Amino acid sequence: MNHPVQPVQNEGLDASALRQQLEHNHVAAFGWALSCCRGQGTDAEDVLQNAYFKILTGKAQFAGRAEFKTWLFAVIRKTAIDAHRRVLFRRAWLLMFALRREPDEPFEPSGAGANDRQSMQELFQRALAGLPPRQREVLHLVFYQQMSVQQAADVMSVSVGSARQHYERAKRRLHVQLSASPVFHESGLARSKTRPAV
Amino acid sequence: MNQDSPDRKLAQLFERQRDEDRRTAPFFTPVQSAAASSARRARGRPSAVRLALAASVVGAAILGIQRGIPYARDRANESVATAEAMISWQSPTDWLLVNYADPALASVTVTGAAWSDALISPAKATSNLEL
Repeated sequence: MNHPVQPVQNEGLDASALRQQLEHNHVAAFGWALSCCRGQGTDAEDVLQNAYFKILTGKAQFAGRAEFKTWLFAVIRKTAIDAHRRVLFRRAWLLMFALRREPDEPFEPSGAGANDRQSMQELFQRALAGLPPRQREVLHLVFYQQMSVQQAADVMSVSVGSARQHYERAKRRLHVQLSASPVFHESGLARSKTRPAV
Repeated sequence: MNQDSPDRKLAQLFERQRDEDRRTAPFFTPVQSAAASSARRARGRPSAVRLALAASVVGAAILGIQRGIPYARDRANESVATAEAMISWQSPTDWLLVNYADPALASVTVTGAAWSDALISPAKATSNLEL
């Protein structure tokens, strides 16, 4: 039987409170890890596990300056960036030996049996994956995690103004990408224009 | 967040995405316990930074030794050459120190012989007698 690891003391949080907070935010954290890993489930699990590892070993310590969720998301983001960097390095290394990565498949809506909702969701995922990382992140944090732009800026370690710009550009860009598909027009999203964020 | 139509639609799309992700999300306990066991293993293991530091120290030592051995060998050869040169060295003014009285003083004077006899070699002395 494994004994639980005593986490390094975090600001105002003992071991059980820390575990409780992690468990409470686990599903949302997985969603965020998925977003940081461009929807790759296994990568997201690894990133999440590594982030928990950092927290349990005290490499990442909660100083209490932000909300726990904001801090946790920042740790996950940093972990995902590190993991992505390692992958890039490995890929560059492999390229030196003339191994080429297969190009991404172009988007084609699901076959005749698939419903509109699924097609729209696939289109949406593709369009989202096509956004620059910061734009994708801010949209995810605001819409998916229902954070404010300020909280998103804290997670992304950027100023609120910068986060707001990313947010507006992301919405515009997503709109342009989605509107290029007939599935989007059928969904009714094309009928109105976006308004600036509050 | 605005609640006008495109934003609402985006929110709906994200909501669907959230529902889908929730279904595929791993349980907390396995992820947490895997991280905890990694943390336990990591505690007994030197960190990557320490390993890198140790490797660099060992590397520097090997490099130092590799470069140092030929240098030390050269230095030793130089020392031997210097010692040999010192041993075989002769002062250019050595001839000034030659004392011609030394051979005469090196033997006991024979009664009846002149002190200068010692300066004449025995062969020369014999030939003189023959004459």
